Formats: sequence, structure tokens, C-alpha cells
Amino acid sequence: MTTLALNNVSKSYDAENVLSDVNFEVADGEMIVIVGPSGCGKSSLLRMVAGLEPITAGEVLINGQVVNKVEPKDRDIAMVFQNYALYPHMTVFANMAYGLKLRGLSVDAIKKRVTETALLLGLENLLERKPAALSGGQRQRVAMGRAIVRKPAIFLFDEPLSNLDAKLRVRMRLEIKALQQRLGVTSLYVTHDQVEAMTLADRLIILNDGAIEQIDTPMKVYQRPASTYVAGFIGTPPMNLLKCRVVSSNKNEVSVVHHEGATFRLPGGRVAKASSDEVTVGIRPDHLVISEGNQAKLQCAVQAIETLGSETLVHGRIAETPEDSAPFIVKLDGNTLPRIGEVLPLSYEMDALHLFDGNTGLRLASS
Amino acid sequence: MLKRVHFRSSWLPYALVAPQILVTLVFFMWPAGQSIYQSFLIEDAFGFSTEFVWFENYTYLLTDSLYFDTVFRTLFFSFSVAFLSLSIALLLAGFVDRIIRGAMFYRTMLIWPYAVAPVIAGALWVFMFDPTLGILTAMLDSFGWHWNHRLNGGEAMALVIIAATWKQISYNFLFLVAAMQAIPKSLIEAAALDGAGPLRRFRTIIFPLIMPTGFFLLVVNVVYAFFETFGIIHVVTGGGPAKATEILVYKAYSDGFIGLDLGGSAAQSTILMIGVVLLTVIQFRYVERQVDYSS
Repeated sequence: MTTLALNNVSKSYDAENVLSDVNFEVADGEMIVIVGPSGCGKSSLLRMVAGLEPITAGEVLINGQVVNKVEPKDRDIAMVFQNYALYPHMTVFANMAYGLKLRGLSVDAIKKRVTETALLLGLENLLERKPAALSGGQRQRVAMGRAIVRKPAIFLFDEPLSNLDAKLRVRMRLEIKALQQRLGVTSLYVTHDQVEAMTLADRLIILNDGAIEQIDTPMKVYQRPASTYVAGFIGTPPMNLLKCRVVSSNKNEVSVVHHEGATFRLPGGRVAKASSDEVTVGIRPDHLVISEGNQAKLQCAVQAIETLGSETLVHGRIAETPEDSAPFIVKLDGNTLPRIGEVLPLSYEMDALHLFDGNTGLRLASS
Repeated sequence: MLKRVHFRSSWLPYALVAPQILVTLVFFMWPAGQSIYQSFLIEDAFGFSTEFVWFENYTYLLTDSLYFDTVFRTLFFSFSVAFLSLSIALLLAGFVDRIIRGAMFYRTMLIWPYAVAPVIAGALWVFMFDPTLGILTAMLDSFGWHWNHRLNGGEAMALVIIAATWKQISYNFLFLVAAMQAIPKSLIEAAALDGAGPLRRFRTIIFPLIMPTGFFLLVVNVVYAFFETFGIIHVVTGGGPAKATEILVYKAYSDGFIGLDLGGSAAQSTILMIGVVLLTVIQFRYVERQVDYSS
């Protein structure tokens, strides 16, 4: 039983503020994934939990105990590093046994634990090898083994898959997920890859510029992004975000907003919450369909096409958007192949529209 | 696989290595050959007659107990210097590796002694330990220790070891700090999370990983102590008192240029050369086995 909590945690290097006022809790056995672009402070956050980095302000609690001043080795934490950090002069066995030896286990007990863990990870034939003689995936597994073998209270993962090739990354992702569920260890996982974040997380934390944008389950984050930042970050291809101006606002019925000539109709209550008449409308590329007859709500001029086999991505411009603005992306099924220059009539469900405040970027929910 | 570069002309590769070969031939092979030839000759002190005597110079040396005293003295001196300068440099590098504020300052200060010429370094220490006006002598005097390296052979040896060590610490320090900084920080952090304190991390992670550098330094230091300490000894003690600090290079010099026994001196140089080659081979054979380069 281990829980982890962060209360108003901040971090600054000299005068520069890296993290401000971070609050969240990790329940026993839960896997929380922290996702954000590089430089958003996610690694600093992890290192503070590990005790490798001093905490500027706030508290980190493990099982309700404040651990700000507790040495890393006394926090009962294991970490998997991005570069694996295997001891290059030791065999795989010695790498895994190192932490156990320091905890004063007997030779027999160490041997038993390491062998068990090696079997679990399929490393039993590699125990006598040195890290230099292992492939990337094997090294990754040894790094996992070194963390698991100690049976720590908390696992920390610092972008453990980013040094692997794409295929291996997918496989290791599944293995990590399965392992974490089987062992039921409270885990904190840091990544910049949103697919990794979506697939691994029980709950997601989206970090932007040192502050938490949203904490929720992957599905909720996808369906109801809390801000334009989250909307643009989660989902591939990203959500189309269009800056709009409220033209007619009606509290009870339908409000109309304009974007360079394109018109969107939205439930009145949502628009009324905006702080000004500037709003941002978002629509996912997946929620657009080619409309039949004269039902089209949008016209999109096709500029480029990416054929992925199972689907076709269309990059184009809607209405009178200027040349240099970000392309409007539409996801079509793989058999539909529009020509470049063609104008696609598109339609969507009104529910599929996301609305954000034009000034704060925050989601405007319906009532 | 290494790609082999093919030059179309056959003379170009030879021309490219020629300068290096030429320098080696002129400044090493030729004098070494001359020295070996000279070691078979006995010449009178005024240079009027020369006699070819085969190995007489060598048999004379190898049956001379004074020569063996010098050999053991040299070994003692060299290994003391190598051991002391390496361990002190390791200690300092370990400390500098751990501090965050002012690391640059310490590093710079610790490297400076290397820029001091051996003779100047010797002169510094000679002044500090001068039996009549040395500042350290005065300090030792207040503890009741009457330091006089001009009379006491042991103190003279200690002084040349200190001077030679002081000079070499900087060099070792520089390499060891570089080796320590090449160790990924995450390795140290992983060890910390695994439960290792600073001392154990140093012993089990840092030390094994800087062994290749340490071994290289051991070879360099021993060779340094054998040959390059001539200047220091010349200034500090001149080999005295009563030859208490006369090491092999110094004996080769004083027998050849002071005693004018050129053949004997040449024989000593040849033995010294073979000795250092053997020593290096032994170090590579036996010490290097303990070194893991795989990282």
C-alpha cells in the first residue's frame, strides 16, 4: 500500500521558475503519466519525487509522510532512466543485485530474487553478460529488472522508451503496462509522447510550462480537453483550432461564430460564458465527414494528402483562411482519395465542436 | 567494418608518414644506437684513446653493489611518487567532482602547478625547506624537528619525493577529473537510489569506471619519475647527500659528464632504456588485466 501526493510543489533554478504550484495524488497501484513537451518541467518533477533534486517549495508525501528531506535511498523508490544508467562494468546479474546487496540481503536470497526477476523479464540467459553486449531492448529490460528486483514502493519512469526504435517501443509499452498491472506498484511515468501517455496511463497529467493543464483519465482528456493547449497536444492528428468572433449571441438557442468567412453554430449557453466575443472553436479531424448533397457546413480546399493505408489525411484550407495559417486537417477513410485543389464539402455533428475562451484558452462547457 | 582508403599513387602514403619516421630515426633511433655502441667502448678521460671492450662496462656495473643500491633507490622513489601523486590527485578529483559552487575555480588552481618548470618547482621547495632560512624548516623547528636535508639522506629523499609529487598531482588531477565527468550523472543517481552512499558509490561505481585512465596515468607517472625528475633532483639535492637521492638517470649523468666515464654512462642508459621497456610491458600484461575498457 503506497500513495504519493504533491502539495503546492514548486521548483526554480536561480531566478527561473520551472514548476509552480503542482498538486496531485497518486492512489495505491495507480499508474500516472505526466506528459508535456521538452522543457515543461516534467523531469524535474520526477527527480524531486526521487529526491535527486531539492524541492524549492511545497511538500512531497509518501504514504502521508513528508519526504522533502529524506535521502533518495531511504524513500524506497526505484527509477528507470532514459539512458538506462546500467553500471557498465558489472554483469546483468551484478547490476540487478547491486541494490539488494546494499540492503544487506544474503547471497542466497539475492540469487533467488534476481533469478525470479530475470525469468519474469526473459533475461535468464543474459545474466552473465555486460551491458555493452546487449541490444537496446535488452538493456531497457535490465533497467526494468533492476527497478523491479528491489520490490520498491514506487516506480518512477523517466522517458524509458525514447531511446528505442518505433517497433520496439510499441512492444515495450505493452510489456510495461502488463508488468505494472501485474505487480500493482504505484507508478509515475514521464514522457513527451502522447500515444505512450494515452496507452499507459490510468490517469494523465498534462503539463505545460511548469503548470498542470489537466488531470484526468485518457478518454476524458481526449473527449473533453480542458484547454486549447491540451486539445492541440492530445490526439494525432491534432485538433483543428480556429480563432472565431461571436456574431450573434443568443442565450437559449444557437449562437453563431465566424472564422474568416466560415460559420459555426453552437448551443447558446456555452458561448455566453466567454469573457469576450473572441472564442476558439475546435474540431477533431476524425469528426469531419464528406457531406452528401447540399448539407455541407464547411468547404475545404485540398492542399496536400497523406495516405496512411487505413486512413487518408487531408491538409487544406477552409473558407478564406490566409495562405500562411496552420492547415485544416481532415481524416478520411483510406479509400477516399481527393485530388489536390479539389474543394471538399464537409459536415460535422454540433456535439463534436469544442469551444474555448479566446483569451484564457480554457474550455467553455455547456452549462 | 573500417573503410579502407585507397591512394592511387604509391608514394603519397610514404610521403605522409615520412616526417614522423624521420623524426623518430634522427632523434631516437640514431642516438639510441650511438649509445648502445658507446656502451661497448672504454675511453680515457681526455678522449685520446678508445678501446672496444664488448660487455666489460656491463659486467662492471652488474657486479657493483653501489649500482644496485641506485636501482632500488630509483624503484622506491618512482613508486612513491607515482603512488602519492595518483592517490592525492584521486582524492582531490573526488572532492572537486562533488562540489557544485566554485568547481571551476578549484580546478583552475589545481592545474597551475603543472605549468611550473621542474627546475623552478625544485627551487620553490628548496627555499621552503632550506635548513637556515626555509619557512617550513622554521615551522618544523618549532615542533622540535631540526630539518636538514643537506645532512640527512632520508629527509633529502622525502624532499625530492614531495617536490616531484607536487609537480605531478596537477597532471593526474586533470585526467582524473575528466574521467569522472565522463561518467553519466544518471549512473551515480541510479546508485544513490539503489541505496549507495557517497563513499560506496565512489568505490563501486566511480573507481572502476576511471580505472582505464588510472592505468594510463600509472604508466605515465612511473616513466615521469624515472626520467623527468632529473631537473628537480639536480636543483634540490644534486643527488646528495652521499648519493642518498641519486636515481638511475642522475647516476648516468654524473658518471658520464662529471666522472667522464662515457662508456659506463652509456651502458647505464641502455640498461635504463631496457628496464623501462620491461616495466611498461609488465604493467600492460598484469595491471591492465584488472582494467575493464568495455564501458
